[in-house]
Amino acid sequence: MNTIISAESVGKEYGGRKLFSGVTLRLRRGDSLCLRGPNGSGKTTLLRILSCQLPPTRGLVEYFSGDSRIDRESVFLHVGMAGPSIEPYGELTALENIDFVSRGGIGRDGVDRHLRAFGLFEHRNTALNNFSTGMKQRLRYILATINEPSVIFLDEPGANLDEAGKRMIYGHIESQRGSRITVIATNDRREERLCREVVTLGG
Amino acid sequence: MGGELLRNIRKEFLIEFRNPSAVLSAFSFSGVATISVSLVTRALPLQPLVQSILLWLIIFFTAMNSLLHPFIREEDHGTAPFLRLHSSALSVLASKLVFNAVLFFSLQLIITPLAVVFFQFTLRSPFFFLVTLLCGGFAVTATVTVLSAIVARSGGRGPLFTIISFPLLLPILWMSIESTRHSLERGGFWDVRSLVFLLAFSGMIIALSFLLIRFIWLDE
Repeated sequence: MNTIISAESVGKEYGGRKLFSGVTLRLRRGDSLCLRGPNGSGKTTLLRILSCQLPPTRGLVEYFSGDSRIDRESVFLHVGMAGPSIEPYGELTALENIDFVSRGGIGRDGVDRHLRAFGLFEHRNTALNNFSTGMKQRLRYILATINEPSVIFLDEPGANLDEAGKRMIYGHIESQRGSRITVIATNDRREERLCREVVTLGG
Repeated sequence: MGGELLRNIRKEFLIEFRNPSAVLSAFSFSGVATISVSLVTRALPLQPLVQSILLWLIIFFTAMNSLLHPFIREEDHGTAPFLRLHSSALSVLASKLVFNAVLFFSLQLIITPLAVVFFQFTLRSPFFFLVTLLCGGFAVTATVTVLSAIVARSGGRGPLFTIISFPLLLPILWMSIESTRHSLERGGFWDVRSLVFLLAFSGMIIALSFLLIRFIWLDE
């Protein structure tokens, strides 16, 4: 699906303190954007605003499918997001979390393929409360991509991952980059290189 | 929407089944509260009105103690952003309403027999009594569920919840107490107006909840 994100003069304030302002973007399929900046510059906040998880103080974020505007209530159908603030259910197993998220597009074989690709197949029936931080991070990425969304937002995708985990995720991001919009919030140079454009906040 | 709703309902029950402390505490509270009140009042000859008030007070506090949990758990465990990413506001509300209704009717299954035995109810119209409990219970569940969504999003807890819930629950409690009193005092099925009020009130609250939930849930 040809989804377009349009952000017009977006700004955010917390308690009278301006985090950022005047962010204007237009992203189409195949675009990849890195948001970087020092701690507290608003990278994660801007990611949440762009994914319609948080309203901006000023400006407007809109999603379009072709020429028609996507209602904010339906944006979640087009978006995948992974990051430290996106916490899946610890009481559920990896497979149950995937079943909860999955809209059935890729079937059981597809789910197993994802779990194998990210080294979690043997742990598919383990509750997330018993997962290590790195395993959780891999599962977050699977949950964000399992429905093959047209837009993916990643907040420090390599955080808490070992080298093998980073290779898996970076490889997947690169292989899917052309078919969707990719936005990554990070200060990691390797993750920055996964994107074609870079926006620096607070700089 | 249908598949999404079923996935949400399944998730609610699975989570509560795996970590049943909140549900078990609600069941304990309902049993202990009913027995404690009945022990205190056992020597007193209670009028039907007083019996009805005591029953609905226990039901009210049981609701306060148990029905906030599903929405507040999402905020406390940090799973609300994940849920917001994968479910529409309508299916979140509907699934939590279904879970709360099942939980609350189960709690009423504990409270009611204990109250009937220990408060020495004389049921002149058992069917009307049961219908009152169902209608009143559903009205309480619908109201408390949407209010718990507001409280959870605002980051508030008990005091705020009691303050904002009381004016909305007052007419439900009033009508339920009146209707219960009638079922204890007279036979037949004559006080339909209270039941119609309770059903209409539930319908209005549910309609408003479904209209407003996107603003509450999506932080607009």
